This record gives sequence, structure tokens and C-alpha cells, in this order.
Amino acid sequence: MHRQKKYRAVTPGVAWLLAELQIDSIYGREALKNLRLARSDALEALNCSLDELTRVVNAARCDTGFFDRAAGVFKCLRYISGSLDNLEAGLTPDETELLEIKGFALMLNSLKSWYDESGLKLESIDFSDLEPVVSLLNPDKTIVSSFHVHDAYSERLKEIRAAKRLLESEILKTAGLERKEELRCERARIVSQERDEENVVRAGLGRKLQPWIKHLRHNGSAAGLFELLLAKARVALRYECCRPELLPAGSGKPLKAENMFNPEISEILERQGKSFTPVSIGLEPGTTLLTGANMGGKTVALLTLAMNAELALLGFFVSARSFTMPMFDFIFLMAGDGQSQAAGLSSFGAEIIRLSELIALTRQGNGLAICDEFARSTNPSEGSRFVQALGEFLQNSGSYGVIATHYDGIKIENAAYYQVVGLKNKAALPAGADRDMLLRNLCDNMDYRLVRISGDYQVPKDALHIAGILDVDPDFMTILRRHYPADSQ
Amino acid sequence: MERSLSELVEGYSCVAIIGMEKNAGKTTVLNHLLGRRPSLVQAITSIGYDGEDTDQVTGTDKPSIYVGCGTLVATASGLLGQCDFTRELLGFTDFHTPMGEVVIVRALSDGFAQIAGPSTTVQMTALIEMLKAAGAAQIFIDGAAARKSTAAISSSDACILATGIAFSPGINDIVEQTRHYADLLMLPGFTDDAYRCSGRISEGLNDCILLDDQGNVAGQACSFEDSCADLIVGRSGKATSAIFKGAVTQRLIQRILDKSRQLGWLRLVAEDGTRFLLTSAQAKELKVRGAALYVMNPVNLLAVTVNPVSPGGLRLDGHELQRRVAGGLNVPVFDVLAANLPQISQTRPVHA
Repeated sequence: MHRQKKYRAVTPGVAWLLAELQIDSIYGREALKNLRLARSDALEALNCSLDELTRVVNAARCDTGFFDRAAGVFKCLRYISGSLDNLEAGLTPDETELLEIKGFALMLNSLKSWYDESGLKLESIDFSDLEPVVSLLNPDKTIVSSFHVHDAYSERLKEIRAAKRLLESEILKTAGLERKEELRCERARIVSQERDEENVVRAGLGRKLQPWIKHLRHNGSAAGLFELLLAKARVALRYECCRPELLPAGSGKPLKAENMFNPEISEILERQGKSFTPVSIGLEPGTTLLTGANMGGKTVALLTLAMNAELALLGFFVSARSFTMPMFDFIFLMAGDGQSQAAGLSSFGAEIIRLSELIALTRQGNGLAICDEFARSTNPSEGSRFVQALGEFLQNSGSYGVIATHYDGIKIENAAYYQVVGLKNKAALPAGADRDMLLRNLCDNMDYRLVRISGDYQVPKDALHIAGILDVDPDFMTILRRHYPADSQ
Repeated sequence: MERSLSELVEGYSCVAIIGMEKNAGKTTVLNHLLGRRPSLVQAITSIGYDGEDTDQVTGTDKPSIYVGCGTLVATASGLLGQCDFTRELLGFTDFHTPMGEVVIVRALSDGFAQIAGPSTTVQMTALIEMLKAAGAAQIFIDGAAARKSTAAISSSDACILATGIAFSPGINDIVEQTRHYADLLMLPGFTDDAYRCSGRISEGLNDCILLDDQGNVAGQACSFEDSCADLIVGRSGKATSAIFKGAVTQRLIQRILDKSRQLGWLRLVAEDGTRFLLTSAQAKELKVRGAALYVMNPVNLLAVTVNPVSPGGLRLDGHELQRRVAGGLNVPVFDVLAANLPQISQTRPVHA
């Protein structure tokens, strides 16, 4: 069987969420591995799977025990692919394989009846009825989860076993060693007959199971898809996500994101007793430039946008109050990932290689390109030219590009400009406290929201101020201030 | 009146049978215990697999375990083909051995069983719970040879030590080693509240911690380094408990003995008796110099069994062996070949 490579998340936020998903069965993990970004022409299919997710989310909202009922099945579901491969190859199944298949059929039937009762009726998930498999492997009236090569399968087996039992009780009663030994030899002969007959029965069961192999496999994959869907619903509920509204590719309509959250960063902040400031942004096709104070959350804003766009194309709900987005051919994120040194590249070299990848992608289609402080690692006079060029390139590429930068004077015709609101009250920050207090104070006074500004923007000059707040050595600050024009302080 | 072996195990839900060596008569003991109480659902499993069939080498029969109808057996799926009782497969355990996953089966007839179970304490403890859930009222663990028996001992609530001539042809040697090992198994529990309160303190490779008489940590060391013995000896004269997470080796003890005359101040504490890998001479010397040995988890040793016949055909006087081993031990000693422990005739199953 051709095995696909595991899906590699574009954004760290999605990588974190996928790792957090509660998936217990190997079938579920397979479904997760096969997760792919929806193609830009697959709007209808993506909407269908979002419809299904909506139904599951609504069902789970009304029923608190919803997930628990299925979780029991997924936790115990054995991966029976190996047994089915052997069966398909015409091998006689052994007892453990038959027990495994029976257990699987019982589990899937209980999952199926729960699913049928739930009234979800999802198009992508339908379970075949495995009742005949259960009956075949459970010739008794009472259904048990164990398996044995039952007397009922063969009259001959029944006779052999009766003879065996008779001998065993005779052995127990016999005192003479010689006679006992004779009886034991006789028993050994019967055991061998029993084994042969059991083999015949198991081979027969194997033949009768042949037509069910495809149904067993189908149910395994369906269970995996269902588990993944339930995991997506759990994420949607846990992080109060909304269904993304998707627009056809190439419509030129804006991407509008209102009050986006980033679950990973939110959780980190919550542990520190802080809260995440929701991010809102609107993007037209072309370039959007983002500026703002240091520590103003530009990177977080970009990561949050990229994460939600990726989630939408993976068929997840998004962490936002509302989210409208056209279908994209790609999602690209360039945010200093620290891989450059390992690859033998300087930071700048790595950025240029990523730039080439981005350009190649834009030649193949329209996507969302997010670049955090592009060209930061070279000198500012050249760096700003690189940013200017990338901005101009993306403006005419048909893709939606966002570039966060500290460089002044980037002018791109018709591009949109956003800025982090920044420090609320520059005078309210005391000096002289310990580092944690200073940081907390800084965060408390930072307004992380994005506002749209006109093209005649000035990159905020908050670096000096922030260095002061973070209590940099006064001697150093004196020297630093000498290099600022008097009116800028 | 003396109680029989099967009476001794009554009331214990999980009994490990550990052997001083292979061919110590473990299987004979197990066969004696299995099937003695038809009204009770018994179960059997083993630590790992005692797979080396000595009978192939010596030509003697290596006894197979013979289970009665209704017994639960936890064994590797790869060995089911070598079990000759009619059976019902109850379920999987998710514990994997080189011979396949351990499965739980119920015998629907009498027959020979080949048994391989999990080899770690954690898995064995979980398996015992599974067997109990499947209805087992009394579980026996074939506990492998002495040094590997830690997992059996830590997950059972009583144990039987099997010894015999296969361990050593000299009766004095058998007596000495068996008594030494039984003594180690019966070491008293360490009940120092100070330690229990302070919890387990062990960082990285440091698997030995030293406590003073107030229960304060007086030092930590890695027991595989000579510096550990030096650290212990450095406390000379001050009441000290050296608590070991893993094995207490001969090398470590020898270094302590070489460097310190009086050891009345020292208490050595290990998880259980199987972790003290000392010679009987070292154990005696420690005792003479006043050091005390304790265990965190005391073992309930119910009995010792002796097997007077070796695989090579050597035979000692069973009664004499039994009497000699029993001298100085305060647990009953049984001769596996004596009338009260009849051996089961050894016709091996015919394999298809």
C-alpha cells in the first residue's frame, strides 16, 4: 500500500493544535497523517466537510457526554490491517487473528449503532454493518467478546473433543503408571487430530471472511475519519472557534478576520495570568504592510492570521469571531525559524532561499504570503530596498501578502498599511522595579490591536522608550540618547 | 500438623514461584499447586520465557506446565500452537514479547501449556489486574531464575523459592546458597518515617541516597562508582541509612568492607531482597560488623522447595537435603519428589 507522508503544518500554531488533538486509534492517526490543505478549486468539498463539522459541533453542544461515548471505542480499537493482509493473501487465520477480527467487528458495530442513533448522517462517514462477521465468529446465541474454535463449527471436532475429555478424566482416575502413560500417548494422538480439525475450521472461516475484508477495511478508515472529525469538533468547542466563510479562489474579494485568537499563545498567557488581545485585520489582494512598536505583537498577529488561514483550509473551525477568506493555492509563512544555521546558511541566506520558494509559489497560483520582518538580517539601507521590492512584487502577483517591517519609507501604490496601536500611556511606566514587574507593566500598557493607517506612515520610534522601561543601564541610556535628535525624545 | 504446600498458598491472590536456577523444580511445584482447588479459578503466567529446553541437551524431561480445565493462562500468542488444551481466547494485553503479544486464554480442557509473559514489573502488575478482571481468584507467576525474579516478587503478594541439585551438585553449597538467598528475601521492611516523608530523592545517575538519623539527606551518589562506597564510609560512626534504587553490588559492598571495620552505624536499604547481589560471605561479614540490611518492599516467603534430582541424573537423598536446608530457616521446606508433592508424568504433547 502506498503510504502518504505525514502532513507538515505550515504554521507553528497548527502544528501545536495537531499535536494536542485527542486521537487514540491508529485509524484516527492515519486519518490525521493524511490531512491535506484543501485545493483552491475544492471549495464545494471543503464546505461539505465544514457542514459536517458544524453538525458534529452542534450535536456535541447539546450533549455533554457526546465525545465520551465514542472515545471508549477508539481507545480499544486494535489496528487489524496485518490480519486482513494475511487473510487477503489466502493464509489460514490463526486464533489471535480471528479474535482480533471479531473484536474489531464488535467494536465497529457498537460505534455504528451509536453513530446511527446520533442522527448525524454524515455523507463522508458510513459504516458497513459487520453483523454477519460477528455471527460467523460467534456461533453461540450469546454474543461474547472472546473467541474459540467452537464445537458448533464441526461435528467431527465435537466428537474429537468429547473423546479427549473422556481420556483426560480417565487419566485422572488411573493409578497405574504404565496405563497412565498409555492413556497419555492416546491423548497426544487425539490432540493432534483436534489440531488438524481446528485448522480445517479456521481455513473455512478464512474463506467465509474473504468477502468481508473490504468492509472491514472500509470501516477502519471510516472510524479514523470519524475520530478525526470528533477531534476537530472538540477543538472548535474548546477554543470557541467559528466556522470560516470561504469564497471562491480568484474572486479578488478581501480576507476579513475579526477578533482572532491563537490557542497556543493564549494558553501560555493564561498560565502567566494574562490574556490574549484578539487580532482583527482585513486584507485585499496585493500587499499589506504592518508596522508597530517592538514588543507590540506584530509577530503574534501574523502567526495568528496564518494559523487560522491554514486551519480553514484543513477543514477546521477557526479561532476567531468571524473569518472570511478566499480559497488559496498556498499558505506561505516566513518568520525566522532558526533553521538557517543548521542548514549552513546565514539568516539572510535562508531568507533569500525562502523568498525564491515564495516567488515560485506565486507563479503557480494565488495564496496567502506572510513575511515577518523580511530582510531584517541585512543592513537597513539595503534591507528596506528588499522589502520595497517584495511589496511591489506581491502587490501585482494576485496573492495576498502581509509584510511586517521596521523599515521607514516603504511606499507601495495601493497597498494597505496597518500599525500596532502600541504603548497606551508612555508616562505611566515606572522605572526601577524588577524585570518581571517591568515586563508585566510593559505588557499591561501595550495595546496590541491593529489599526489601519494611511500610506504616509512613520514607523513608531518606541525602541528607545522601551529600552528605558526595561531598565537598561543609565550610563548606556545616556550614550544612546546622545545619538537621537533632541525633538524625538 | 504440618500444612501442605497447597494449604500454605491459600488466601494469597498472587503467588510467585522463583527458582535458584533452572531445573530447580519450579514447574513441578506449579503443577502441584495448579488444579488443587477445582472450585477456584486459577491463573498462570510467567516472567518472560524460560525457553531454553534443557531436556534437548541433557536428555531429561523438562516438565511442562499442566493446567486443568477452566484455568486462565496468560501467554505469548506465538506459543499458543504449543499449548495442547482446547481453549477460548479472552483478549489481548498489549504487552509484546519476542514470541508475540501476551494473550489471555481460558482452558476448556486439561492440557500442557507453554508460557511466556511480560518481563517488567509494571506490565506484570497490570496483567495481574487483567487476570483478576477475567475472574482469576488465585494467580501463580512462574518467576524465572533468582536474579531475574524482581518483577515476579514486586507484583505478587507471596512467593515460594525453589532450589535443587541442578543449582549445585554439592549439598553444602546448595544449603548455604539457598539459606543466603532466603535470608535476603526475608529481610525486614524499612519503615523509617523520615524517609517516607521526604519522598524519593534521586537526581540523574544518583541512585543511592544517604540519610542521617533525623531523616535528612546526607549525600547522594551513583552506586556504580567507587565514590559511592567512599561516601558511605565517610559517614563512619554517624548513624546512616544508604537507600538504593537499583542493585547493591558485590563490588560496592567489598569496598565498604575493605575500608571500614565497624559498621554498626550503617543500614543498607534496597527495593527488595533480589536487589542485594552479595555473596553469602559478604552478607555474613556485614552482619558480624553490625551493618543491618532492609528492604522497601518486604517479601512474604511462604516456603522453600528442594529438587534432589539433576537433569544429568545425579540424585541426592531428598529427605537429607530437605532437612539440611530447613535447618536455620523459619519457613517450611518441601521435597518436590516426596509423596506430598507428586510429580506429573511427563509425556510431551505430539506436535502437528
